[in-house]
Amino acid sequence: MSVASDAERKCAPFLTDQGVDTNVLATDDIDPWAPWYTIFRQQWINEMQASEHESFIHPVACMLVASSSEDDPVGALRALQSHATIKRVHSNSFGGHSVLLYYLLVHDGRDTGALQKIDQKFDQVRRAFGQNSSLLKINSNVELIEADNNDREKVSSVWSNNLSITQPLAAAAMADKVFGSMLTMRDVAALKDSVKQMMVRSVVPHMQCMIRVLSDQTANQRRGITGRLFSAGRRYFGASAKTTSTLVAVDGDVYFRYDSPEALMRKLADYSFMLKDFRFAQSVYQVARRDFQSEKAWKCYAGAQEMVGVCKLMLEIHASRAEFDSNFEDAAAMYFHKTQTPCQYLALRTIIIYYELLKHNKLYSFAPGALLRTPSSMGALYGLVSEQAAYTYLKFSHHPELRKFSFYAMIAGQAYKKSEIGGLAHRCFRMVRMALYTSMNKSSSSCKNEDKDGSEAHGANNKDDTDIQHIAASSNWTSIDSFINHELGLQCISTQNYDEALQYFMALLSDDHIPAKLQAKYLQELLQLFLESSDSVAGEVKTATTKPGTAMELSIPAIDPSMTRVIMSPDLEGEDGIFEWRQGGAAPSRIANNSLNTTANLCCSIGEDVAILLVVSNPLTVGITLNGFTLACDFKSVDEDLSTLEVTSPAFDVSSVDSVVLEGGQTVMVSVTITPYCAGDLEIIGAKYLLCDILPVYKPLKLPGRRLNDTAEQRITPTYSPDTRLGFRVDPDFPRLEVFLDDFPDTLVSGSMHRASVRIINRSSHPCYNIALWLSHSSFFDVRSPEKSDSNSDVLESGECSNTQGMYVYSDSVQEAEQVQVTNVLRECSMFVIAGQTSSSPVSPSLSGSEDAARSLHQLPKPIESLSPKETLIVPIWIRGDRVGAHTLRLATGASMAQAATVLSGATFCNMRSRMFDIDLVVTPSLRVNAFVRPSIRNPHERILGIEVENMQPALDIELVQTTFSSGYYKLTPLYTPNSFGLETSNHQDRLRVGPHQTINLMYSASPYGSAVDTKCTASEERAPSEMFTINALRQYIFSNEKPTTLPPPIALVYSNAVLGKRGIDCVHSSLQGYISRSQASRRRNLLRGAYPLIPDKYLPVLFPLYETFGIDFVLFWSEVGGSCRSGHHSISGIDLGVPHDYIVEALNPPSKGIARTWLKDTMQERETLIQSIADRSTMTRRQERPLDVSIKLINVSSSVSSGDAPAFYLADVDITVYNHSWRHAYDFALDLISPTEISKLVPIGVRLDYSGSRSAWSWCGTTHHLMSVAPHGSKSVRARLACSSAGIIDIGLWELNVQARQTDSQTLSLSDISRPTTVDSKYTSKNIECTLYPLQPCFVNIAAN
Amino acid sequence: MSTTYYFAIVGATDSPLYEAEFGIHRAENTHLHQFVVHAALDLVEDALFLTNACYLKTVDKYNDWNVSAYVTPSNVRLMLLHEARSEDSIRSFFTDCHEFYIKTLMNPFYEPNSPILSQAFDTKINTLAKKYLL
Repeated sequence: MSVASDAERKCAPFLTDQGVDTNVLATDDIDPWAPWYTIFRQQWINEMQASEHESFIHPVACMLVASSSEDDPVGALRALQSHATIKRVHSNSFGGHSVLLYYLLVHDGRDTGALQKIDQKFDQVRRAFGQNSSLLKINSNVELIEADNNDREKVSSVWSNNLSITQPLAAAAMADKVFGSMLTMRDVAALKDSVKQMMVRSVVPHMQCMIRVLSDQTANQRRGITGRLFSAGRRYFGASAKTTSTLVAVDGDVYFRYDSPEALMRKLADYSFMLKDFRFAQSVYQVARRDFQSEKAWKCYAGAQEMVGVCKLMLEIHASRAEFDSNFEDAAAMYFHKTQTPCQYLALRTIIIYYELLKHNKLYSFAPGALLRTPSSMGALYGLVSEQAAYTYLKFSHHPELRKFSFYAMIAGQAYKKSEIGGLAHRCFRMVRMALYTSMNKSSSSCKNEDKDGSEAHGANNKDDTDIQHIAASSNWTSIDSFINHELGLQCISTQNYDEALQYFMALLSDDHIPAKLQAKYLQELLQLFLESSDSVAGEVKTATTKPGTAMELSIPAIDPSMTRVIMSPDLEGEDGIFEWRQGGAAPSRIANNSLNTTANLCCSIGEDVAILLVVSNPLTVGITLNGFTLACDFKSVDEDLSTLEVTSPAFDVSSVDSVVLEGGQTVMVSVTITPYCAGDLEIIGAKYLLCDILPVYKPLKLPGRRLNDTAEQRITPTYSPDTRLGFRVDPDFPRLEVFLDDFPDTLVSGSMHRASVRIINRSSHPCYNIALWLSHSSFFDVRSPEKSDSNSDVLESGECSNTQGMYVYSDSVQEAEQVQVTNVLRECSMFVIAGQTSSSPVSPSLSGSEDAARSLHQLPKPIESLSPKETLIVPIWIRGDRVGAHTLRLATGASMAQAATVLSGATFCNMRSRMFDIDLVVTPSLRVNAFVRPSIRNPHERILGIEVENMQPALDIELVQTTFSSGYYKLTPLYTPNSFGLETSNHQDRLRVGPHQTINLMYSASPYGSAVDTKCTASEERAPSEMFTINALRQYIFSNEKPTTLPPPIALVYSNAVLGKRGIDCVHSSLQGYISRSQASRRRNLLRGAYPLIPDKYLPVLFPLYETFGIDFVLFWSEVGGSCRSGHHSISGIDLGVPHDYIVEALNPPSKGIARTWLKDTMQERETLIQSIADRSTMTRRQERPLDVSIKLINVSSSVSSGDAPAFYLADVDITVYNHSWRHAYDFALDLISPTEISKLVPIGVRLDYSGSRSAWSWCGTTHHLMSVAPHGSKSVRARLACSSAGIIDIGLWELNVQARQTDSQTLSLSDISRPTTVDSKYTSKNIECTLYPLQPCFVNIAAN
Repeated sequence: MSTTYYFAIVGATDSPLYEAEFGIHRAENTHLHQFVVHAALDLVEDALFLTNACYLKTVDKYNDWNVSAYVTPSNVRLMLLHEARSEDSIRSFFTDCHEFYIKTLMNPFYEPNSPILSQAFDTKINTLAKKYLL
């Protein structure tokens, strides 16, 4: 099979890398696709044997040859004639004495002298044997031949050409043999003539003659009904004839004697077939077939059937299937099943002849069916036939059936494999693969073009490589794929083609649908294979396995590149990255997608550890281990000169993981650390590991970047930007700070202070100039000035004594009340500058105040300038449990990448390398502090403020140390000394101690602070600057185009301290004030954010002040009694004394001028929504308020004697004072004093207490109706008199007050001035503008006799 | 019954969306089942033009195995490899399978012509096979 060995490495030409070449399919013949079939067919024909049931290989004529040099050629011929062999041929059982004898006299041209004699001799022969004789003259003259060398080759080629066609194997064996060395071309011509003469003159006439004779002999059988009747009669009645004609052969088949009519008929048909009278032959065959069938001579019947089919095919090309296919099918079936073993050969002959005829007629659609009648037991032959069948599927006229092709190619491959023809099996399987691949992935084939171009340049050897590239591809038919890959792999192993085999096995393992048992087997085989192959190449090329490039790409385990994370400085806590530090105190957020268009998204500093986290998952159901897992990286140095030096010192270090064990289906996270030493761009290109400690695998990690969508082309065909997720930049200028949180507590008692610190160490080689700190809950933290430290011992020390020292400044000179001017700006104070400089002048003229306020970089009192390398910076932070509950506090440090010491502005704080920490803090309750407000009866100016303090701790006594109130208007004085409780022992008289679960109340009276009352300021701006500021700013914000920019003016706060303990705490002049105001700011911001969600954060500072004039903030300092000297404070801010201050609605009234015109409906809508929301808010939250309060004071009592001794009644003078709480409005009021007798008429039932008993015993006298007006914060008094019939205590708090606010000038103006209808009318006015008030509580006076 | 059934839903892109084996089957035959069904796809294309019905009856046979096919309007082919010939039950099996396939298709999270991984679908098909085939 030398021909086969050449072809078996190549696939059939129609399978190209681009897919199935339909042109080749349509034009090519099948034969060259499998040359071994052609050889087989020829060999088969050569070795055909005669069979007794047909006359095909039986002799028709016999040639007897005599030489002319013979003296008596006739005698010699006669002697030959009587030779036993000739006799046997002549009297052959099938030939039946009808073999033609042909006599040939051969003359050698060398005997020139005998020319006359030859004619004579030939005459003798002719006379003796008649027509069937001829004379052949050939030359054997040596001189003649040698004269023309060219001629000699020509002669030889006549034979060798012929041989190579008819007997290719023999021809190959005798390739160098020279045929006809003594002949010339003339002799060849003579030989051809002689043969032709013999055929034309003798053989054909002889056969024609035979046909005529036989036709006569069998005529009656072929003619219609009579013949049939005759034959039937003979069969049934002439028993003797039957016995003579049928014979049973040795193998058990029935056949006929040569002189039986059936045999004669067959012979007649055969002869006429040979002479191309197919129509006649077919009719005779059909008759004979019928006879054979009736005689149950199945072999003969099958032969006749076969010939009928052949005749039909020879006659009619376009015959329908039923006409010939059934004949062949019948014939093959008969040969196979009704006859004995040798007839398999005949059956196969039928199939092959049929197939060849079909091919000749291009009736391919019948061919597979025909070919596949071959039983599968035939081994290699079956493979051969299946392969041919597969090819015929491709030649189907309408479209090539690739899937059928691959199926039968697979069958063929299996048959070849069984009969151990590995090369052919491999070829078949490979064709299946390619066919499957091309039919499945037609679309992806275009991208393979480049590979092909490259491989052609490298010559034919690379053809295999391109095949291997296809291995990775797969159809989705998993078991087909795995079967084919496995078979191919095994074949490759058997031919020691290890590289290819490895590829196939890897493709096998990539499939996760394979059952576990098979997977384990495949894995085992793969490892075994690798060991074998490395053994085999060890002697020759040792470097093949050690070279990193040759490490294989294997699909197991799966590494998802998109899940890969790059983490800088993995040992440190917190979330690292470049964060965008936003303005307005929002949390710094990671920059999601890099807008800076650098190659690497991430940066790290030189020498910094970078952890790469990879998600590795095992798709198999069996466990595997990965050893020496490491990463391959590509490093591009920034500095061109440096790249040459890389050889000596590596630019980076990659750690490796010794062993990763993956169970079946398990997913594991592997962390690899890279330490870069040079500046540049580092990209991770792949992972390297040893699979099961044996197989070196290289796995490329590649990700497509963002899908580009900029141009039309990019939208049509998906294009991706280069990915940056798997790379990072090594930047020497990149700040690298190590940040540690020291001594941060897990739990805190609510209100208590705890000292912690943030330790920042500069690890980079450059000083770091700008460092900022951000805190999520600014009310939880008090950041103090940072200090540099060189040793860690200081930190520990300060951590140990983390009590309240330093937080609270104790002083003995705490004033009871003092007024301090403080800033009233609502700052965002979640961001602190630790290092760096802020601009000295906070407001540059060009910048509007609002922006500056919103930026709000809060600068600590003493920020350091820069942090040099290896220096440590400690930022002390006080943490206070501000609210009870579990909190997640976030803390972020940021270092800007700016090199020089620049002045920090908003821009430099945009992007900083940051580290974000989450701190979990649980705050447990300690004290619960509630405030409540009562009106004071004694004095209408005053309010009673009660503070209820409850100790929530189960087992701790808490001492109250100090209370501090701050307000812009009120001064608070304790109503009684603490020891009036009687709770305290004599030892601690001054202190207030609250036991577990105890509650105490502290009462204070709030009265206007002296200076605030004394100044008789009439303008409301002076009385309540913050409120007026808000009204104006809000009005401008709503109605004007220009948003307000000015910040609120400072406010004079009255601090009222009540020292309960031994020493007071200075919270006015110490840094505590800063913290308290910051936490107040954060609280107030949250409040405002919730109340006015439609106002953006950045406008809050210019709209609302930090303190309202009439609000009261309360701070309660306490310390624990017992071992731990914990102390803390609680605060309540914005205590509302119930005075009317829903002033905000006033801002909703449009101003007289400067209303921005809104052309767009949307803008108008927006404004209206804003107004509505503010109005809703203020009506919703405000409780019922009393703008005026009335107090009644008894002046004197006089008894009036009417006539008798006993006093008839008493007269009492009372002062009735009406006080205006409002700072905004002057009120007109009508006061009606009501006598108890009239009460049912005037006072609505249910308003007051029950007036039974002595009620009717007294009455007002004089005028009871007073019309007056009262200025803001002013009061009016009325003297009234009442008469009482008897002495005793009576309730005289009976009055009705009708109040109407006096319209201020601006309001009346605004109401009247609006000529055109606007969306806003003045419906948003204070609701206290008109109301009726009734007494809230009784007012008892003692009317006593003198 | 000792017969083998192999059922596959082949998407319009010629890749199997769902495969199942019912009855008795041997592991070494799985690839042959796939091969036979895969090869029969060629004949389905021919058989499509001969009838209006979705159910194409037996389109191919290999030795003892018959392959019946059912083509949905979206050119998704339900292929069943079976030994016994029982046209009616196979027809109803196919019809019901088609219904389930349509229900799967209506799932907004299911991408047409992607493998069907739903457990519920698998259970339903197995129930159908028990009902009609086994």
